[in-house]
Amino acid sequence: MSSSSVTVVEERILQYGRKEKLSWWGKTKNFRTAMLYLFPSILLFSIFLFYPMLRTVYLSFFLTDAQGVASLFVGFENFAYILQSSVFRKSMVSTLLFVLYTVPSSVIIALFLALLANEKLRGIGFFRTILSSTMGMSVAASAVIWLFLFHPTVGILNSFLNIIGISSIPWLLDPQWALISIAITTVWMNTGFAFLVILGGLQNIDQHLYENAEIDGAKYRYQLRRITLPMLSPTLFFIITITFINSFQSFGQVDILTQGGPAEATNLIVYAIYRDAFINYQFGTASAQALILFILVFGLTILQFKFGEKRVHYQ
Amino acid sequence: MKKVTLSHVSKSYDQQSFAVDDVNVEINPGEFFVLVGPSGCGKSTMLRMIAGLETITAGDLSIGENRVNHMPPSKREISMVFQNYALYPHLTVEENILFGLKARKMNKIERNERCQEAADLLGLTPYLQRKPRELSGGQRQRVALARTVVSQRPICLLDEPLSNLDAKLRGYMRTEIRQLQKKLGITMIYVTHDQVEAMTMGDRMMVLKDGKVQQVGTPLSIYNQPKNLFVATFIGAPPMNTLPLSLSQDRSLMFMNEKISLATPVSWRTLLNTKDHFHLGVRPEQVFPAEEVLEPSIKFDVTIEDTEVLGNETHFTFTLGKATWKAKWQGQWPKNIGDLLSLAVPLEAAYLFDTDTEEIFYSGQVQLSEGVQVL
Amino acid sequence: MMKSRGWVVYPLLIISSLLLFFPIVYAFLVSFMSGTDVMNRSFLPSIWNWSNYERVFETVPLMRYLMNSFIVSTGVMLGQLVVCAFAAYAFAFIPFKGRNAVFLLFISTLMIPWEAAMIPNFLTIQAFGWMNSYLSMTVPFFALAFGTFLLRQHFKTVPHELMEAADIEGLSKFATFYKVVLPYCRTSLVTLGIYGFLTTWNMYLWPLLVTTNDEKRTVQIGLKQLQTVEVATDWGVVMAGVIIVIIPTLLLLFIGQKQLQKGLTQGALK
Repeated sequence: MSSSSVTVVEERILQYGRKEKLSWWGKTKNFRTAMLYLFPSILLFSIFLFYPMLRTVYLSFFLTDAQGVASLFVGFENFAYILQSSVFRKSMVSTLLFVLYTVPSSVIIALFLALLANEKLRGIGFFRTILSSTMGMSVAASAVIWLFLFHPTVGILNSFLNIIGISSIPWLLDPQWALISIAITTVWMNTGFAFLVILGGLQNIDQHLYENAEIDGAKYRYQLRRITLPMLSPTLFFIITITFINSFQSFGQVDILTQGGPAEATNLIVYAIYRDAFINYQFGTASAQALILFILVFGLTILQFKFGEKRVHYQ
Repeated sequence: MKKVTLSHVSKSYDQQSFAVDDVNVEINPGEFFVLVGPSGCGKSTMLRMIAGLETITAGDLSIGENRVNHMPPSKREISMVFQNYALYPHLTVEENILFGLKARKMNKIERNERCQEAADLLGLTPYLQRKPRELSGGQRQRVALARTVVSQRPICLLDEPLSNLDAKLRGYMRTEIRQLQKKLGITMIYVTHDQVEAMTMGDRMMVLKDGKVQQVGTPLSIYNQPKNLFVATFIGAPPMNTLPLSLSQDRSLMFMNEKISLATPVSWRTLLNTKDHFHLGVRPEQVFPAEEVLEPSIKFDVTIEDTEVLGNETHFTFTLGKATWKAKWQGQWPKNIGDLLSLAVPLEAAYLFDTDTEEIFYSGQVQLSEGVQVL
Repeated sequence: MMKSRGWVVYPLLIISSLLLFFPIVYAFLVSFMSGTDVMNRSFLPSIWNWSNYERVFETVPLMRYLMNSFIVSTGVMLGQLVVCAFAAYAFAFIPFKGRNAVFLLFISTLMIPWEAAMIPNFLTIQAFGWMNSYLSMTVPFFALAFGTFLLRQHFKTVPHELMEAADIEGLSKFATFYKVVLPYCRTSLVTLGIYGFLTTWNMYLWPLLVTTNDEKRTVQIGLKQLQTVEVATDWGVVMAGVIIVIIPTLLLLFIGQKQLQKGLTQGALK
């Protein structure tokens, strides 16, 4: 703001200004008011997010007793231990597979549904409501319903398959199918939210672009490729990141459908942390895994900011 | 009642240049004072400094005898009307009008009394229970004015209050605001970019450009005796015609371009003794048919390039040298594009401006400035 | 052009809606079925009766759970609105030194998954003596970066003339906040309210950790309990429980869908 030579403005102030000297107290007035408004948030974030995050880092370097008190410093041994542990490696593989199953399918299905629901047709409001309904479904309720649908004896999914001539699938009993089953449940749950966000993105696109394309005689598919998808890219990028992060954090469906089994096939990372910490009281190794989860989510969010930021300008 | 005094008031946002540059003026109690200028000239900034919504970089602002540079807006005993009215969309008209009084914890009986009065005055009584979005632009404007009325504060600041209205309503509201001000006897400081508003409403007006005061005075004195080329062309519609002229060595000829020249009127020769160039300015209503002008004048022939017949008056557009000029004649004239016109400008209707400083150095009207009847 | 597309779109819409909504509809149907219907994998109940709904209240203290969930969700909703609105006001209207730094601090909270912090949080809650208390399920969720950004975005649309008019009338900062800004931004408050209620009502892992008895347990944990207790015996009762649990959130979603959709895209993208 200030330059080395005296500017016209400074000169004028010297001539006609009676610049009131503001005390330190007066100068920081805005800061103090702002802090008053921000205090609740900052306090809560500190206690329940920043402090525990640091504590997690701290704990991950220690062996702990059952009360979670750090008892023995072990350095990176917890990390070494979990990285060598076959249970953890299996858990990582399952988690990555699970992410691979859920993210693309959730987004593609939601995009498809949103494109359908973006048409201006009679009764479209009703369809939008139905298609967004899974957003209101809790993990527990969804998981319990799907537990029933997957059930080996009373589950109706297998009945359907039998009707169309496919033999029953051992949904939750077979290690490979179990992960897929959980993925199906998750995709179903994700759809509502992703649908709603993408639909919002579609509705933000300027209608004139389409009208103009219609006049030019562009076909639907061409409009989709040249207008809809490019204009929607920030929204899509956002929802992909969110779905990624949510997938990494899946817990309830595992707890209700499989408890991590069979044969540890569905022991997703948050469930593994939960088991280590709250069933086996291994707070040290659990914290080390929590740290790995943090790094994954952190990286994804940074990615979202980096790319998302650039593309949002587009709108 | 208190006067508003600005002395050396300046505002700078970037520490390098001035948005408002050394303004000195005294606004009298009960005066309708207009700040007028093109957009970006600093008029709104000035108003907002008076309101206390902007800080003052240098200089002193006083209301009455007190220096108020650092007084918060609410203590300055002012009310303000904004361009988009600043009505609270979630409150009814009545609640909007009473908003300030409630904030000041005035007792209910007096509050309602004042609201009734203001609503009657502005014809808002039937709308008191409506929400702002159910009102027309003009009605919203009146609600904003009613807020000023109930506040009973002696100074009212208005920031382009009519610019969101259509032309017809604007004309009507001009009179209404003006009458309101006279009835209440308050000081109004009014910002506009519309010179017609400034001319018709103001007791006095201040013309601003690039943050600098160009001229302060009554509308007529500014119209008749503009201080410089900018004021001359900014005030009046159609604007004053101007023409850059260069003089021959002996000052006997005035060249419009390389070829065409006019004879310099004898009475101007001494005046122009020291100049090589100057600008000639003539109001369109002072460009007459040559045969009507008997007094000393400048005469020239032109070809009509455009005509606008406005019912009771006719405008002709033509080119003179490098400039486009207009002539405004009373009545309807059956002339076509391409027709030749012989025109004359009485010498006493001419304004001469210095080319470099753009300041006026001669006006034929100086002598008739008292009993003006040029309009 | 639009008309002709309807022929393709309607069937697709109907099929997808049926597929997507089927689990919910089916859960509803099963909740009226007898044990035999379930065993026979019937699609429709042979006799519609409410006995499953009566029994679910006998099996687990569902009323208690519903009330707990309601208290917790309302608590978080209100707390979030207050805390986020305060923070958003500071960001939107007070030009203070270090605003960018604090803003970055808020953004950084988006990068910390709650699950990564849950172990120390669990220990903290124990230390506070908040186990089996409403406090443990509400207070930690009051501060929310997403909610703050959502509100800030909307606060910034308040015309500055409104704020200045209030300034001239002599309203204090706080009075301007609750008399001008909050009423002007009602819709975004509703959006955030719905969002907060929904997510809290559906919370699973955290209530599972911090409640150990029926006294403060929420419906979601109740569902798990119901499923473990009843799974061998009667699915009808379990589904009755599911339906009761999802009705409030589905209703809320249906009512607030438009708002929510607008709010989510705004808060997320801008």
